[in-house]
Amino acid sequence: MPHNGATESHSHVDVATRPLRRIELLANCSLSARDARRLFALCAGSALTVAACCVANGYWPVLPFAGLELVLLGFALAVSLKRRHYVQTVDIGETGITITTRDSHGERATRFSRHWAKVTLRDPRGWQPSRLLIESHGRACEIGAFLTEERRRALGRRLSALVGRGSDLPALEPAGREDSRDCGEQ
Amino acid sequence: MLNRKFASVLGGLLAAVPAFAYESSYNMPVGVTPISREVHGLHMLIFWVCVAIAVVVFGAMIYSIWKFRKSTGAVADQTLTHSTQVEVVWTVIPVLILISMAIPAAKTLVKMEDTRNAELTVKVIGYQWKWQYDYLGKGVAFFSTLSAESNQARQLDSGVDVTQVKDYLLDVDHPLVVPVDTKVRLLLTGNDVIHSWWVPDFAVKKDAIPGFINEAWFKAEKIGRYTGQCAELCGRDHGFMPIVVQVLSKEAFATWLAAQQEAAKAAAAAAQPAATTAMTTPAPASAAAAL
Amino acid sequence: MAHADTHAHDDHHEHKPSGIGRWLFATNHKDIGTMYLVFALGMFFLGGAMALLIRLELFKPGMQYFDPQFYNSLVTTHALVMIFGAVMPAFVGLANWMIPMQIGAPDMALPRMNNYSFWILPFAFTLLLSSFATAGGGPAGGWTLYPPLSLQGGTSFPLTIFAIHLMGASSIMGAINVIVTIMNMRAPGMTLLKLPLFCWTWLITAYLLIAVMPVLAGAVTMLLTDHFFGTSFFNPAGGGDPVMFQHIFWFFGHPEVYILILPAFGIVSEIIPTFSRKPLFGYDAMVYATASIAFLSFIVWAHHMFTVGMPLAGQMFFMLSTMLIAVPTGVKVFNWTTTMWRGSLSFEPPMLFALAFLFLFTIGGFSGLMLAIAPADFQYQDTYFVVAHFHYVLVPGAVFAIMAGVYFWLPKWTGHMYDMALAKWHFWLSSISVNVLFFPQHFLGLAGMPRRIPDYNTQFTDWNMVSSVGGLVFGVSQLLFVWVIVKCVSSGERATDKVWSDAMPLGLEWTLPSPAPYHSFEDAPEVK
Repeated sequence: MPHNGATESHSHVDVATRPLRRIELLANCSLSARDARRLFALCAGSALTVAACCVANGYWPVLPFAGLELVLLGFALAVSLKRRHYVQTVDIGETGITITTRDSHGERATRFSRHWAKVTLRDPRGWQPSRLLIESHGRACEIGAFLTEERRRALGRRLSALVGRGSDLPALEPAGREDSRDCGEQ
Repeated sequence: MLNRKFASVLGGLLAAVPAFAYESSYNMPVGVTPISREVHGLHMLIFWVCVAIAVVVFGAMIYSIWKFRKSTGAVADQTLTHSTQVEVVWTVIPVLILISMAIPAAKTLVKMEDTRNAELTVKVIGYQWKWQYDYLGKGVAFFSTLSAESNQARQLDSGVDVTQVKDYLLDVDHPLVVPVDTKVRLLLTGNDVIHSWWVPDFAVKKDAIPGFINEAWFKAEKIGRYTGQCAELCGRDHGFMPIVVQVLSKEAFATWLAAQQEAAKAAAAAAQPAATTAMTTPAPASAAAAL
Repeated sequence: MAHADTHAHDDHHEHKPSGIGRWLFATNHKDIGTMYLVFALGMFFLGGAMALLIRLELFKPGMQYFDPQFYNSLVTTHALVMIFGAVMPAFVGLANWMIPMQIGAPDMALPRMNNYSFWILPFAFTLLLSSFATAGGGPAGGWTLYPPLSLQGGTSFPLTIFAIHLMGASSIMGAINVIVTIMNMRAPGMTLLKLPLFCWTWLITAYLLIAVMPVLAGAVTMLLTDHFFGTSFFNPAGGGDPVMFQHIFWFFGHPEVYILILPAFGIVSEIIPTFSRKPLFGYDAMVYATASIAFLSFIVWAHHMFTVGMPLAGQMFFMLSTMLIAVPTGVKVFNWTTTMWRGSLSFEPPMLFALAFLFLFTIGGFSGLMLAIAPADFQYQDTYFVVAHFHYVLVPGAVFAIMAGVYFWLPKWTGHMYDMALAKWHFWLSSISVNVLFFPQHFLGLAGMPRRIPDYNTQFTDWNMVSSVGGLVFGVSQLLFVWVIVKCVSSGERATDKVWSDAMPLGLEWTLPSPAPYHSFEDAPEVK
């Protein structure tokens, strides 16, 4: 079942090997691919029936507009449906950070040393959206590209608090108030 | 019995409405043709049906607003959220009302579309911004434009007090002249853009469309002068191409027609050297004189 | 609510883009919603100013102020501005603000497209209005663009067509965004039959837009090619069929009419239960009624053109199908009334506007029923009776519903309560003057005054004067609306999270803190 939002799980045992904090990022996605196809078929059926009637009477210019519109609708649905494949997991352990990104292309994992990792939020530039990065030693991994601006910022704040900067490693236990909200209703 | 009682109640209601609601600046004219009377009857029928529904629906609304005010301590009944019975009832009753409305409406519609057995056929052509009337088979055709007096008064900053102008904007130089008690068929078309020929007293409104010929008919039962206007936006002077129909007695019409034919012949003879299709006849001044 | 108060401390270090860029490149649904609403309000005043000029010329018989051609272009652009500039953008603005909140989504599905669809509008209306500066003046063939008249337009003609294309593109992008958002971005647990009615009505509206917008785009394109490229789709001079244009136009136009009213139904369906402190009566029936209205809207178009001379069978069909619309519409009115029945009613400004909607929209419904009777329609068609009818369903119908929605959600948006007393003044002045403005137009139409005429016979003087006075009062009282909004944005008592805590708001939007944090629902709320 698709669900959304960020979820976190705590682990109190085996501190050395297990991640202490996990943030899982999922997008709202209430439409299955099959329902999306049905929706598209419904809209396409209506628009094309109308267009076909017009074409049959010689008023063909309606058809390209219907086609254009359906391309746009199909594109919009496809873009929106991509959300369902996207899961990003940030595991923060005592010493390391692992970012696992799973999307339609497969799964990738990137590891950082927590000591050196830095959370950066690059401000939006022109038409480019903002980017939330975890960087270290010239490597960078983008997090939450599929989130909206606001959610990305909130995530950035939270990660900054969890990852810390430079040698200033915040303690992971006990969980702060900010974290409790994510567990509160899960 | 029940029917009579209903009729008397309805009659009472109708009588309660001041007389001005019927031939006035408030309501649709009853008109002078059998169809216009039927249409007026339909209009009043659907109007009273609406009034009856309004009394019930608005009554329920006003009662709820008054009775269930929070300020009087009304407590909401959270259980009243659904009732299939009630919902079926208020779906079925409107359907029945609509069916009972549709039947007389359909009958009138059939009559309106029946243009057979016309005794006189006039071709009506809409121009920007005047009408042309062509009495088919009679050799009479003329244009009908806004009267000079109205036309002068309606100019921007004319300085004319339009309240002093007789039949302001509802007067033409040459009205359409037809005989009383005669089924007149109109063939309507447009020369440039779409116009619509409308005379409320005849309950005739039909679009005059370029490339199309529409049909309409009326049978005026009362001698008199009836006015209307173009009812389809047709450009700058859409508001200034009125329609005036002069209904004459059959004899007066025959006299008028003969005079027109005479004039048309004379005009054709005079225009022979020019050899063009002169459709306009000299002013049929006799139309006004015949009254 | 746990997540409600934990957001509060995030507010001060919220990072928003600032300056003009925030608006130009806005992708946030609240920014875009705000832009839509402000744009709609501006256009409402522009279109209103045109209406006042029309009423000025019609105040008494005789031509006093304008050339008839300019008068015609006022009539034409008033319609286009109000339909495509005021009412539709206002609904899209409300959708942008409220749909993500109501379904528990972080934003609209396609924020970038959302931005484009808004910014197209200013260009579209600049094009449309710039035609007034060209030789020959603005478009004067009526908003329905009937050929051959519209083909006579000068420079204004292509400008109008391009403007309509842009407006259509904007609407379509908005509709696609709404449909994808509602279908794909719902929070877990928010099933379709739990959707707030505002979302439902918008979903159906968006579907209608997708079904009919290509028809409008195609129709106006064919007008363009008829004018410039020698085609003869509709031009009778080349063998085209001007009546087919009317069929095609109204095939778009009638669903468009419902596009303008369905979201209004949704708003009213949210407000009446809230202030009756009782759930909406017959939620399912409301959804089905909306869907049936949408379906019927595809098969009634020719009732706009009974006078063009259709075959008898066609007239019968369209008369009957049109009458059928009264059934689902009636169900809606009955359901709203029953929602109030045995409720506990209070009369805050949103409720007042919703009640005015209920009464006055019903009056518009009655005149609509009368217009459906084809033989009688021959007498009503193209008269002020029709003008009165559609203004009753659009002004105290759609516009009042928008105002009700604004008064309902404004505290949510700004975090401030507004001046209730002032809002009530706005209500009473508007709802009385709107009747003074439009009710006499029924009489004018029945007595025989055609629409779209700049001057009239002296017999129509009295009611035109009454109507013009009503128009002036209505227009001026809308300034109060702006004043209430401006006051509310800048100051005012702080609103609680559940703004109408005293009443019974049911939607998800009321669980968010006021003002809504820059991001709604970090955590997906559970729908119980």
